[in-house]
Amino acid sequence: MNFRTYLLRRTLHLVPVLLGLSVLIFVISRVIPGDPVRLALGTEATEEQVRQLREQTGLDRPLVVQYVAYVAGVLRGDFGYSLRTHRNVTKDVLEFFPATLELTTVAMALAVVLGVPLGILAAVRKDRGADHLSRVLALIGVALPRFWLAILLQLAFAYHLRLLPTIGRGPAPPTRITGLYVVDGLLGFDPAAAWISLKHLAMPAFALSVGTLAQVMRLIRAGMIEEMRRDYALAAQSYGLPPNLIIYKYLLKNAFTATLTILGLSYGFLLGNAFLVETVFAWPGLAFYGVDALRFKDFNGVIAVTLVIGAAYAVVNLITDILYGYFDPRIRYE
Amino acid sequence: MSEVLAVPGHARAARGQEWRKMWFRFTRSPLSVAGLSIVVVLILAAVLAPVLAPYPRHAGVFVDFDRGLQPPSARNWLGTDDAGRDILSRIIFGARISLTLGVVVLAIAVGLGVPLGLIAGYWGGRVGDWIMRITDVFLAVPPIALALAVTAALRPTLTNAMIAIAFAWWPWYTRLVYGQVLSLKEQQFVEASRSLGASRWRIAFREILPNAWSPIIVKLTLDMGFVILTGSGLSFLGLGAQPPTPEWGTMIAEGRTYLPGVWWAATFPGLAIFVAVLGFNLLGDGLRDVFDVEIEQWRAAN
Amino acid sequence: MASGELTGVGRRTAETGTEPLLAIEDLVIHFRLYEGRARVINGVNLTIGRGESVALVGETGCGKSVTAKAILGLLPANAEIVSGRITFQGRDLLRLPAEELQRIRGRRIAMIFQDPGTALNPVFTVGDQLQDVAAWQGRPRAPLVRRGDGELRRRCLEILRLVRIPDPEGTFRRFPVELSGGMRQRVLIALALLGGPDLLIADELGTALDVSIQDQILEELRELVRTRGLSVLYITHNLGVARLVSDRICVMYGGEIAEVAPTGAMFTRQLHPYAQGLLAAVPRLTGGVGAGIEGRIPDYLNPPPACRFAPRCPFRMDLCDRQRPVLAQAEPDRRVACHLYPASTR
Repeated sequence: MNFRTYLLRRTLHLVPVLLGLSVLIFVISRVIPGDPVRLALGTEATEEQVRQLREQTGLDRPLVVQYVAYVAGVLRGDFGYSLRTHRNVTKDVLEFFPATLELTTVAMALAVVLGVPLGILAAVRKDRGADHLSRVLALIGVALPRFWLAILLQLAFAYHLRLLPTIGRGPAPPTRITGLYVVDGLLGFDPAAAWISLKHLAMPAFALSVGTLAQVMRLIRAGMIEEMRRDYALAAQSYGLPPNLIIYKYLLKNAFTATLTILGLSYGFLLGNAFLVETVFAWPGLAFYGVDALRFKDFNGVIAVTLVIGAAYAVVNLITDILYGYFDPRIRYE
Repeated sequence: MSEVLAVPGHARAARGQEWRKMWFRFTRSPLSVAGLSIVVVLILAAVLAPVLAPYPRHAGVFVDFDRGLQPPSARNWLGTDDAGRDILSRIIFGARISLTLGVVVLAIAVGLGVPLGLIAGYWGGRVGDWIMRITDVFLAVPPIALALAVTAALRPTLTNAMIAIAFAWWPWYTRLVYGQVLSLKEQQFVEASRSLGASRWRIAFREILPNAWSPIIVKLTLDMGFVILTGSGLSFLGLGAQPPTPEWGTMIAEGRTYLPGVWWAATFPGLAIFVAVLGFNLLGDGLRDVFDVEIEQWRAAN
Repeated sequence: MASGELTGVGRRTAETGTEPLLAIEDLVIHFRLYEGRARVINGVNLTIGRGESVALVGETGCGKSVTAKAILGLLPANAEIVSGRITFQGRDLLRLPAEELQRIRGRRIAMIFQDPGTALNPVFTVGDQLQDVAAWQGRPRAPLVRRGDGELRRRCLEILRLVRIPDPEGTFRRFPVELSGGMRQRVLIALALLGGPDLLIADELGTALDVSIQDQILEELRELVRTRGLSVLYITHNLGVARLVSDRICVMYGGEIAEVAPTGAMFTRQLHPYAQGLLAAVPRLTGGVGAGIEGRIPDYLNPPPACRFAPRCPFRMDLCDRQRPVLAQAEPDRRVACHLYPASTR
């Protein structure tokens, strides 16, 4: 099968999955004990007010009709009305999403940029000091509750050492192009603004990245060790190729390609943990918004957040699949 | 060599003496033994909580504001929280909660996911396709996100948190078992079994499952840690166990308001979570190492 | 380099004249396994002369691949070279520092690997791999990105033409997965020849391929070897291959050399009982035990105390379990390690 066909199939595969997800979440959210309308209006609301609001938000219509209307809305870009923020959820999503995007992307980048070299080091010095140390670090990293680490980091760097800001994202830089503060700062040739944003980003991104970093480290290590055993590695040695070329070009490309798929999955766990880390740091991202929506039982908000996260996760997996096919020609020709 | 395994059940008979070999191999790794020790301590703490905790009554509804927010001392080794409750005792009782959470969630996840995976893998067909499609839908969102979304529909309690997490966790087992079944389905002994007239049910449960169980066991062990992590995360956000339940995540949320001065209330419960997850991870890794050798030997023999 | 004469029966061997190109003396290699110490190579003696093609023949598990890998220092970490020497161009390869050994690999001694499906890196093009070898072979370090170099490319295309690849430019751009098994094997040969080595080691050449393609490639290689006067060590379990390509055959069993003789002579008559079993039974030895020989290869963890073939030998004597037979000259041009021949009993 042609690689392009494979990609097309994978992309199309997204549609029924997201659709199914929307059904799932929709059904969950509507089948509840409790009345979101009453919750929103409070206990002093009159029957008339309740009825009015219910009619307004369409909660009085049959479930299927509601669902179809909702999907139609989403396709138009309309996620419905939030009973909590009293705005269209779409506006909320657009406002909060870039912060989460920035946080998770930087966390992922950290995990890869730090994890890959450490993994290579562990593999090359297998069963020696550096390897054991990296194993211990990896075990710790995977077991650390990220929200606890976030709190500890806050205590250390913000409260006691006063090096980094405690919470929040800091002021938006003057230029607003991408919504990613650090990028915007740099694009606007304002290094001071970028620096401030970076300082705010440091702790949350690190806390979020730790588990994935540990995973990347172990995966690269395992991947490199496995590749070292392969015939082509032995052959490369037999031709007299220099060791650094074999490790950093021949072995690494194979090992990294093998870990790409898992990296995609890992991103999902990163997204999931974003809920916790954003809460600790009051980082104004989509996950933070989602937690508030959950507590308030603002269902349009909850559904929107879930769908956006699902879509982001799916896109990342698609990207890793594409990269995998690009790096490993065997996929394309089989 | 293949004739030996073509007789159903013969492979399992030879397994008996392999248990001892596996145990020896397991004990050779100090990290694995450490993991096992931690898990054993956790179980003991959970079971013997009323006996081990210095102030068992503090685990429930109890207030003594005079002794509130005391730092660690000889009287309260880990200090007290805002209601004057001994943190150490609450952490010990918290082990009970966390382990129960893990066991219940995984029991549901396995009870639902494994049979579905078996059916989808072995019978295949349209039923199998639909099962896997539904599994894909559930897996489209990261598990924490899905569990959170479910909590929106329910009142925030520990029990509901368990339901929410189980809801998000079962598809991983379906996918795992599905993959195992597919790869094992073609193996010789299944064909031999069928040629001897065994029914498909028998084959599924008696032949395939026993050979697929080692990855499931490993995953279960590792998942105990991650489920506890997720559960405490949910409770931390206020969407799971509520005060005064001594759940570790809840305790962190409660203690957080008194930072930075009062650091012990938020720190020690987190440490407990960390140690618990670490223990299960070490144990799971150790089991995986032992089973991997098994699998390699099995493969070499075939 | 001595020009090669026609290979075949009656060729002068290294024993009678000039100094050998490669000499393995009393090589002993143990493997540290979980279960204990596997005494795989138990005193191997082997010489290869200039321009000579030697076949190392034996069944699977007899240690031929280990011997080959030992020459180039490609043994795994748990392998321990207990004693012995491998002399090549006046130097002991086993005692060379790593950088020196790296300079010899590919440039003086090159290996052609067994399975073209796995011996090529799947994620780089053929051209990329060829140029890397041509550019950086033998150097201690290399930058990760190679500068474009027309001369380099030309050299590599030349080599591809030399190994009879029909479309060198096209193959250059392709990934290994796009090529057929035969093409990949030729690329492997090209990679080995790039450095202009004096000695080639061919490990089970062509066993992963179609029989007809294997024959064709062996023929072409033999021709190449002849025109360039190369020495070759063919590792094989296939006697037909050995007969086709080699001047001399060494029969190996249980980590030891059983018998050495010129190819024609070996096929006419064998001295060692194992060799007799091999060649008498069937012309080709399949992956397991030859049709005429009972028993299995020795357990290297607990090998027989003296002669390793004794348990399976139809001519077994008491002496065979007490004293190890030495590889010694029993006839002109032939050496054997068996107590049936007094030279072996020392």
